[in-house]
Amino acid sequence: MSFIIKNFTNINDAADALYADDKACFYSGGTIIMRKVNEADQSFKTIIKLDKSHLKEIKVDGGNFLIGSGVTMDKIISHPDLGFLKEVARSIGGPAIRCAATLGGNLFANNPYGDFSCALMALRAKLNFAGNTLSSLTIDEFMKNRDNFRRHIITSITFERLQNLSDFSFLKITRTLPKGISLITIATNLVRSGAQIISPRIVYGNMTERTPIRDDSVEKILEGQRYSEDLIEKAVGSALNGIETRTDGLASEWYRRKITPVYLKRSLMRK
Amino acid sequence: MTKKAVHFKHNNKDKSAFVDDGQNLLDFLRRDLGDLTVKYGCGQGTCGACTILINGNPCISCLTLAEDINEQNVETIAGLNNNGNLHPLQKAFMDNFAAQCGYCTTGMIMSAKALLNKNPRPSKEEIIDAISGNICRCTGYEAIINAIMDVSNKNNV
Repeated sequence: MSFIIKNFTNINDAADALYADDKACFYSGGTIIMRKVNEADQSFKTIIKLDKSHLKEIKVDGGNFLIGSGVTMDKIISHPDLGFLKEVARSIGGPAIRCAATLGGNLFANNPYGDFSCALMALRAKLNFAGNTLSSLTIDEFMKNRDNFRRHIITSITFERLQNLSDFSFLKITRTLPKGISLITIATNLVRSGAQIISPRIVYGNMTERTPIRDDSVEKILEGQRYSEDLIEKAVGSALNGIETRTDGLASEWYRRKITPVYLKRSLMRK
Repeated sequence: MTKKAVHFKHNNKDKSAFVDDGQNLLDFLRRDLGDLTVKYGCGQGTCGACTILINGNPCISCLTLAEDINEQNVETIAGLNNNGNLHPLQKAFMDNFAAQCGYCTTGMIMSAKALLNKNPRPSKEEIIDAISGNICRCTGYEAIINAIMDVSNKNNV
């Protein structure tokens, strides 16, 4: 157990310490890092910890939500204004894991985990950072080069309130119930102006080597169109165009490609 | 290696100790406190065998830093029996044959206790969700669910 733990009460000091040490990592809820600690992972030597009272804020301000990166899944489940994210949070681990796992940690979770990030990408979330080196990024920018941001501390996640809760859907497909590891995760957000779909978001988790990822071809077909069953059929027909699906111990590349249109259709038909 | 002092309650008894940097709570409870009722399963947070309660909430002790228990209330199954009398959950597990090899039992009971503390009359679905982080390879879960329901049915609302 040759790890050094550095405790901080000031977030900017913690951010500086993390940025300055390429063998350091940030401890949020512990559900990712402690696995590595238990395996005696040699990729990091220092654990940067912040006083537990930080990053726990949940703020609903008019049309915007702000959730601290240290907010745990159980707090999201019990928050009265975050009902639309309840099922997303409940899909992560059992109750004990949900008491520890944080939103910030989920953004850094590798396949087959990180399901909450799919929902955040569908909600067009923005990530805010501590320190002077980086202020904020869209989740899309963040996910494209996630490894570059491992030495930054995410303070909070913001996103706009949904006009209609039914615009958003989240589906985690697993082999075991009530809880299992994701084979694929699908989050969709079909914002509508009148009958027209505007800026749709179709996001997959555990589909490719990098998670999560948007399905541009489906989004293009839906953009600006009137919602109808024919449109959904057409959109689903182009699912995974240009996306290289992954094979892992849970499912083959072929199987993922086979089941995705089925579940994507179910997600989109819920509207 | 740096040592940190922690002051906490272990099964309602005040304790003070030193923990190592990076030491997980499971290791601390078993090796330093000698509480062998907490079981080491996977070390990955997947099996739930090491589930304990911290301030009444379920906690995977293998994924928790030992230093995080400072000023906290830690409960393990060792603290459940009352002067030799079994806790209702322990008795229900016995009566319903909810333990076979017994390795998951301590974690199962602590997860069930966390649920019943907050919700004395849970539905079957709520019980299933509460133990969804605990793996049992012997019983097929039905006997465990029945045992928890037994206690739930005896609870007065």
